[in-house]
Amino acid sequence: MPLSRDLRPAGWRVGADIGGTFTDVIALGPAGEVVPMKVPSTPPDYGAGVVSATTAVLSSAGVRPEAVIAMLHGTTVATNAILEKNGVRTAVVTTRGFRDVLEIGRLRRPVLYDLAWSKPEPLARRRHRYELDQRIMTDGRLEPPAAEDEVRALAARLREDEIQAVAVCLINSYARPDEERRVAELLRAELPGVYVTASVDVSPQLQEYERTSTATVNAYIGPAVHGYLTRLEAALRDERVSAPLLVMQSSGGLLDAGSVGRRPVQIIESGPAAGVTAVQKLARLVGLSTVVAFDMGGTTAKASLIENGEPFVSADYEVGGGMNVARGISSGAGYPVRAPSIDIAEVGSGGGSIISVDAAGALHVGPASAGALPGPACYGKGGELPTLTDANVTLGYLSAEALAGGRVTIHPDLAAKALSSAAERLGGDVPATARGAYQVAVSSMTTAVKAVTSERGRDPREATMVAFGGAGPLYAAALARELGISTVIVPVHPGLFSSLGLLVADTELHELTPYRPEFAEVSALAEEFERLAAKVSEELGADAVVDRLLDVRYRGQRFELRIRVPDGEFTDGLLAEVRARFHAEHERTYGRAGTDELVELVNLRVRGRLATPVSIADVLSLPIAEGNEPTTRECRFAETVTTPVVGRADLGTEPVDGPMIIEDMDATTLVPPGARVHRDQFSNIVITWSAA
Amino acid sequence: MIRDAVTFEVFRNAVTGLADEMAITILRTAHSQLVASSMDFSAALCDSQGRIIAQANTLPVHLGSIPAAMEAVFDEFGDEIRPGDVYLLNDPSLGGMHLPDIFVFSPVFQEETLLGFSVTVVNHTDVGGWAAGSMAVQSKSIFAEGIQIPPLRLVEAGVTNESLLRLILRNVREPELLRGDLESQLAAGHTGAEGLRELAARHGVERLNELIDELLDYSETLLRAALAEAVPGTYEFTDHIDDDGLGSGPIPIAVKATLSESGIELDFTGSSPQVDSALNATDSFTRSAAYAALQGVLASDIPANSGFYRPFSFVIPDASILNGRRPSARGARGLVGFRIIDAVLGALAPVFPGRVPSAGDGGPDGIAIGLVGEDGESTVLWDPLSGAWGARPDRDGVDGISCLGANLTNTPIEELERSGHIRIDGYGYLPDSGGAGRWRGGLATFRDMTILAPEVTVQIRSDRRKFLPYGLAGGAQGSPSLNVLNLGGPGERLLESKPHLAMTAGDRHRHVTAGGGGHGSPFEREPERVLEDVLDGKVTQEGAERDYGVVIRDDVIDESATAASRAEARSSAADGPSLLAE
Repeated sequence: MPLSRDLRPAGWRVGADIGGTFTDVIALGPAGEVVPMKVPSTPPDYGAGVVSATTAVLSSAGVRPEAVIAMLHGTTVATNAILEKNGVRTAVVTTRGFRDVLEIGRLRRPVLYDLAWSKPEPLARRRHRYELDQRIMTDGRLEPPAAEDEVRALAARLREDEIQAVAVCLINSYARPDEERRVAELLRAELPGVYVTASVDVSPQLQEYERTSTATVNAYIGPAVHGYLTRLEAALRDERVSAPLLVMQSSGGLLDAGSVGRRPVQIIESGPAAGVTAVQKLARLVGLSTVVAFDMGGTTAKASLIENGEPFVSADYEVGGGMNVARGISSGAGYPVRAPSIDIAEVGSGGGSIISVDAAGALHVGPASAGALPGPACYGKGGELPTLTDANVTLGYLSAEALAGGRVTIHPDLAAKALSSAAERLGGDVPATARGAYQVAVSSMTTAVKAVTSERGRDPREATMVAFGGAGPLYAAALARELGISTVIVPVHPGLFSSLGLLVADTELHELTPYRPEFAEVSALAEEFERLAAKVSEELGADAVVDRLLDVRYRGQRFELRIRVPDGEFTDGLLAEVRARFHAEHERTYGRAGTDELVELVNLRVRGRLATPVSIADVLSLPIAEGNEPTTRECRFAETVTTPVVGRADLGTEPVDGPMIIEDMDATTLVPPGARVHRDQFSNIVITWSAA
Repeated sequence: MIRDAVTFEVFRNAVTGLADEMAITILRTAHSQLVASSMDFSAALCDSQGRIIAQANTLPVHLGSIPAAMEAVFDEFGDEIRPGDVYLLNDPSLGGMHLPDIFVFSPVFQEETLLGFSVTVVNHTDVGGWAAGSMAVQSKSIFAEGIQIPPLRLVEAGVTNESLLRLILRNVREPELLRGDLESQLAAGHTGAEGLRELAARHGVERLNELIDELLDYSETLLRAALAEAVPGTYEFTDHIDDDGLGSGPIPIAVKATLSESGIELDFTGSSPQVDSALNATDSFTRSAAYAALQGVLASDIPANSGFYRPFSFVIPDASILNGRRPSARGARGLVGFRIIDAVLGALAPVFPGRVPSAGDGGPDGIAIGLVGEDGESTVLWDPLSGAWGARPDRDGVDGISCLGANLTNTPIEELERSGHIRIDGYGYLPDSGGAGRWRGGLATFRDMTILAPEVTVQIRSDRRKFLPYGLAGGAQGSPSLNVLNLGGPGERLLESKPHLAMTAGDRHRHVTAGGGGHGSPFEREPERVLEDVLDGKVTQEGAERDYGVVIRDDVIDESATAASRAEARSSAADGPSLLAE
């Protein structure tokens, strides 16, 4: 694999991050030049926006397309295929007797009492789920193996039914992966042009429903993702950008487009992962051991935790099910996917969240959103319902003239008008209502932060918050105060931070083997780890750093903790150290630990990482653009205060007292009264609260 | 009245999040499959008077029973509730429901002031007694069902009563699972306590109590607004459990719902007296089940707290199956709860015709497979199976779902097989099993297994063999639940719905859950929807013609034959088996 060649430091790197509304592109030059560009996204052909923004960035920087050495991409194409249900006609091929495993699922619903609730439609309809007369036993025996004739006959049937993608998931295939791969290979040979996924290649673990679901999602989005990436590469080549295309995975590392095309299920959370990666790099640079990454945009607020430079990665999640905060107890809303994904908790609070008052006089913010259209009332695009953005304009937090560097004109009168009926219902004035909505939003966002901290035995007060996204810096200080977090960092380009994460991300590859009884022999365990490591090194090259990890739990538990295996030769002693680490981590996370006899190894994992030659410091230490002339605005906090409004460049390196507003081109940072603020050597805005 | 909308909403967010956090703690730390995978547990936060402030998104039929359990704790410990204590109970006549459900209460203090309690209920894998799993239908006395725990202090001022714990563990199968799950309850109690203390620190105790009052009033206000739509009057409905597992039946569950300005009274007079087997519920469980039905119909999004319960009153006969007397057996009382829900929904259907669904599968069927190993240790494999929801007034029922009263998962096939004791040979839908209607009921599911171990005992709790899930507004009933031994082979035998029997290696068993009832006349279902179901094998071509009057040839609707068939069906009319045919 030629990956290491892609990462030569000389030349330009381009990061392109697609969002629902905007596509952000950032180019990074060999001397650390940074050129950002924000263009409207171009659905349904999102690639067009990427290509046009890329050429625009290059021409504005005066760079030849040939000078680009890496195209780094974060994309929602996989998620959209699920959300918009525009994947291809997908079949499931399984063991006789089990065609309904995919649709029956786990029988749970995410809501308790809603009698009108319906299950998400299966991604492969029942008529497109086919059975084979074969059986793998739990110990791997074949009773009987799949007959080639039957598989060929099935292929003919699939052709007739115009199937475009196939997920092969046989019962117990985790115990005999080669049998399932054999069936998949036969189908591939018979069905050229059809996208075939063997479940063990995307999720080699036990539990038939979760594995089938993962494979089906992979197959369903496969042609869309593969086609998208292929077209994008071609379109970029047409513009003479022929650098390799690397895509951000849900787990936070980049992977080449070819590999992604085979396992697209790994890039479902591509966009959010890029932002967390940027925070991860920033945390390492600044030397922060515990960081809460807080990302807020137009519709949602997201939180994740980074500890000692590593984000928490969860082994499974649901796609297409909406908000994800009460993990585990409210399953059933979406499609389960087993692929490593940065653990991100999400609540429905964003700039577009709608403010409402219910029949009993309670004030709510979200989860309904005004979206991009009509958007907040103050955008003057026909929205009449009040949103958080309207509240922020009314409070003076956001400029009453223009946002997003002048691209959006603001109508403060429309904001006030939209808020007036809520104010009337609550018996207060408009500013008080706006302020109330701001506070309610902050309180709901604490839920997301707690989900990734206190629920995991981590004290948020020991963390530093890094805030980004279009709306994150507006709420971060208040949110931090609420959680007892004393320091908030708002990095440069907070609105483009996710695409910046693409520029500084490492290349990563994950491989996994589920635990098998034979691994009780430590030499067998060591051997399997070596096999996985060799596989990873082969793909990433010899420079890759390989980490060994074990998923461990106590017998009977449903959730595992991921324990890093210490370096060194695999021995019983090393395994004892893993157990000790597991007990300690369990104690830390849940307040208690069990005994060695209860310890169960679940998965062997290997993570290969090829470090990027680019440091985030290169990007952050650049001189920053001058903003507008400093001015003041009347801002409503507990009371109304005349508040200085400055650009980032005007902020000094010595702490000063809030209130203050700092306007970047792509975001506004709010420093409430009582907090202090300064700029550090990386041009970060640093807000501090003294201990309460 | 809400005094300050912002503080109120912030508080509401916080307590709801806290209850969920307790549940997540249990889920992540529990050791048993029943808790960690099937999620048979609940969590709630109560105030100092024992009123529920917030509930986690867990198991509906547990949650409404907490007030009665709290009362038992107050009766026992009254003024002796002290910081650092933890109480537990499972005794059905002293606040419990059935023995496997162990309630754990952690009182929460700010210095000397009692703020409230974090409460958890976990259905433990086994609490002793004659049958593995402690929930056998055939138990005839509570003394056969396992260890009975009256309200007791498990932890006193931070010190665990190890003697009590040892006594409990010595009386159960799989003591390590019980210990692990009990510890997860203690951990969840701790989570709730910390959160409640934070809230008190933030608002002050006095204001905290005001906010709790506001929250309870808030639920009541929203609920009364929903009730205002209803036409006052009295509505009656009777549903049945087939039998008690000992040969007696049917067992009527009768309810008379009286709607008035003050709320709804549910009078269960006319329901069966208590039975000899383990189907006897408690007063608290009966209420709990009824609340689940009421919340489903009235207000799925109103916060479920004690304020929600205020507009409802109950008449529950003493010594009835809804409120058994000690020492009646209780282990399988879950079934009664599910049928209470069906009966209450049936009664409310004429009042809220646009909201009440037809009956679903009638509750999760429980299969427990018990083995004793060579070392004398017992193992229990649980395979709880759910099927379908009935059709709704404006949409089809749901295929493959846990009923309103429960939210239980199935057990992964590959995990069951890995035990080496059984093999699962099939798991899927049965066509034509959903009650026909304008909207189709959810489909029945089958689960086939072969015994691999030399010998096991199999204990099944199922129902809806004779009294099928009802259809509404002219929709047909769902199909029956079945247990069949060695289907299609020598020794084929239809087992009863609640069998307890020994099986040996090579025995095959098929369990079928009931299908959901249909809603509205099947002859008004769009032929295109019937065709889609036929293409998906959810309805057969014959079934389409027989049940819906839709004639399909070669995957195409025969329009004229369909019109003729439906005209004929309508003229012969009124032969539908629906209980509530219009």
